[in-house]
Amino acid sequence: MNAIPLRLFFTSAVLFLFSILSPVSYADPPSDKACLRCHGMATLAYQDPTTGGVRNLAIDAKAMARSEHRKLSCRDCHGTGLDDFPHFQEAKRERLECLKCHEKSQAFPRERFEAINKSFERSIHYQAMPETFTCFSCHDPHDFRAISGQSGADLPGVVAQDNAACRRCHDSSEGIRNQTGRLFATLADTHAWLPETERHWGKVRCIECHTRGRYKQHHFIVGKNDAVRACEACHSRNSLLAAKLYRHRIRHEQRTAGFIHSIVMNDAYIIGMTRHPWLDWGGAVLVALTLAGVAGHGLARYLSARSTPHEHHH
Amino acid sequence: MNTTTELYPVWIRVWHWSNALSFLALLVTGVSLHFAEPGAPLIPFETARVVHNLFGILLGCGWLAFVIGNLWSRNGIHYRPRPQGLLVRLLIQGRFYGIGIFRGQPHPFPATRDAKFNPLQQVTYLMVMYGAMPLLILSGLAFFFDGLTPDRVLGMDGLWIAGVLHYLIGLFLTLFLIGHLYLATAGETLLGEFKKMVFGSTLTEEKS
Repeated sequence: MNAIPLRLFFTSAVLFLFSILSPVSYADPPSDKACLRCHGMATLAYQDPTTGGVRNLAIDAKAMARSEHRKLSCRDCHGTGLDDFPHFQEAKRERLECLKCHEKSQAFPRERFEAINKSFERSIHYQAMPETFTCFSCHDPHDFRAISGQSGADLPGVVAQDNAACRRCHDSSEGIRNQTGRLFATLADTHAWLPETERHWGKVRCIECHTRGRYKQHHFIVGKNDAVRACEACHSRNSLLAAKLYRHRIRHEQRTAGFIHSIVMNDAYIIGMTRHPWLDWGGAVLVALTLAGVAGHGLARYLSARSTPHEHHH
Repeated sequence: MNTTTELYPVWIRVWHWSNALSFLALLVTGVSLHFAEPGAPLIPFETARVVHNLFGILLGCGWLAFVIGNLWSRNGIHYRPRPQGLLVRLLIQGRFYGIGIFRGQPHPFPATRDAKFNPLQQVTYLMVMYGAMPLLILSGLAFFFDGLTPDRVLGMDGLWIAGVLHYLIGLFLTLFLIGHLYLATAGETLLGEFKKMVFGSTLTEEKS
């Protein structure tokens, strides 16, 4: 609780110092270095008087240096203006849109942004807050790394990066209140049904379950009513990888829900853990052979009984 | 002097049909659990899981009742084939199913008070009831008490071993079920054996 007033105090103090020590405006557009003199401070923040939410105004130069936008200077996106201090109001009026820059990009053509925008507009976020929810609500362009640019080996990094975007708001009731002014149940409560919750969150992205459709619909984020809840959606044809996931949960359940309940509701079996082509096909072939053998024998009995009708009931 | 024996006492019949019900439920739900995939035309995983657990408990209790009943009553003797000449008796029964049955020959080993099963039944039922079933139940219990299941068995995940074993025995018992159902039609009459298991079958033997 102490961090916010302290941060605001520092911010105000620095801005005040700037306003008396610096010239009121730059003659030339300021360099990145000039921007980062303030925005490079980890504590730079601003409290939105309308929602009461605290907005982080700090830019992590290291994150920026490894982001997709590392070659850009501040002014490439932020354009002109913002020469005076403080520039809260001016910055608030700034309407940055991804498409403004990406319109002519070869690497990331406009059509893909349009497709993203289409699915984004169907998302629960946009539906609930069409005015205030933008790309930047989730994606910090100063720290944005596209998955396609990352190697498969860094999958945990991808998971962490993408989930951090969701958890920044959803991890706490306060986080969501900053955005919406409303209180929501915490992630831990809404995901209590999910076995090994934290392990799931560390290994798969929220959007694996909370989006509709396939790859190109990653921005069609859905709420709990439409999210995937069927374990077999992921855990099918999946073998040893999953075999250890729920192992120690049952003991906890035996303590809390009673013995009989825990046995009947037992879910130690991991979907797909015994799937193997040899087992599946071998089983199918054996069953088919047995059925064929039985059917053949039955047919032979029927035919022989017809040819010697009386002998059978001898 | 004549002795009258009920070959299928009521408790055996109740046990048998409870097994039959459990078997079918476990087979259908087991297939649904094993092949669970989105859109698969099977019982939903969450439903199949609970039903499988419930009928697994019923089948396990039935097996326990069967073992106790066999210790307590005469029924156990039918599951103890005499080893002497067993192979020859098996071959005779096999030849009957392979040749004799098509020629309308009589069953080579009709049911008696001391041996209601033919040699093939004796061996199969022995394997099923005292071999496969305990392993099936044990591998099922490995999931019920997964905290007690060893983490590693022979360098592999203990629960995975139990899962594969459970699948293989389930498969074997499915094959048994097919054969069992079919051979039940191969008694003296087509439906005679089914009727016996519903209404019982008294056997009168002359004793000197």
